[in-house]
Amino acid sequence: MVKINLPKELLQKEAFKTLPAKEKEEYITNILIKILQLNPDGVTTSQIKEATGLTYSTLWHHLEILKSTALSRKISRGKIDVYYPLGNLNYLSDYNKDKVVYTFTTVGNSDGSFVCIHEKRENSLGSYTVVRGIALPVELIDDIINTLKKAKEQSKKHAKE
Amino acid sequence: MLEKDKYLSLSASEKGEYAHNLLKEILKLNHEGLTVPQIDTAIYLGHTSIWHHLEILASRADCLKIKRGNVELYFPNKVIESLKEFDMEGEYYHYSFELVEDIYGKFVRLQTREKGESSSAVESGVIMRADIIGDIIKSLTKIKKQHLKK
Repeated sequence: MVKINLPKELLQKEAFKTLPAKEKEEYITNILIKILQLNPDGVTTSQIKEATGLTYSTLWHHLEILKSTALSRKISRGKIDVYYPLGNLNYLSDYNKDKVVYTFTTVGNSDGSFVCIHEKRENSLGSYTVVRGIALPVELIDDIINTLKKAKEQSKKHAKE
Repeated sequence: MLEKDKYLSLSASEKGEYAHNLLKEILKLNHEGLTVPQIDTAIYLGHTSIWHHLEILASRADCLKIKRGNVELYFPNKVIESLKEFDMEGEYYHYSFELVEDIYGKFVRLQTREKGESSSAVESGVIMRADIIGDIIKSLTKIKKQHLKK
């Protein structure tokens, strides 16, 4: 199996085991984002398992969450899923309302250029983490703005009901 | 609900899609919220699998997760109007818009869907409270003007 690049912050198995459950979750998410960034040509769950010693199901779960929250990309090649970094996020702005933060960034990758919206909420450790996200192609931004305006009008009708 | 044997004979991706649809239906029928153990006693998917799929659904804005102490409760995001006519679909993308409601109020949900041959499973999504949509539009308009040069 081809070796992958690993971040310096990778904990030894024993040190990882001593972390409280919540910290383990945060650690795995952060370490996977770093592993993806260090391996822009893509990695499989098996490669990360081999390199980190973390279990397949733990890695698969977190990689799928990263994909669902628009923090990574996945391309299925036959029966093999290859995970890629989303790209380097360029921070633009935050919109904060009632303890929910929407972070706007731009990112470029082999699929194109995107504006990303990430929804962050405070976790039990007191830090804000991404709970949801979406990548919007730059060329569709005008259409998305116009559609959101229409959706806003529709939501007003429902608010009156 | 499929018999366990039939479920086990599905491919991995079919199992995932089936589990997502089943869990969404179960949440829809239990709008007061459910925990993983509650669902686990009622269906055969298994605790870990149920938890995994609920977490995926929550991360795609297909359901709502709330923590009450050490207990995690999952609620449905009820679609009050499917804005199908607003769908944006091209060769490589599919974005859908819906008005949804959960225990906190009404939201606009924006999701991106896979462009598969047979499925249009949700890839990711966000929900925005109806009363902040105006601000989100302003933010996107500002970003377009200041950062997205032609």
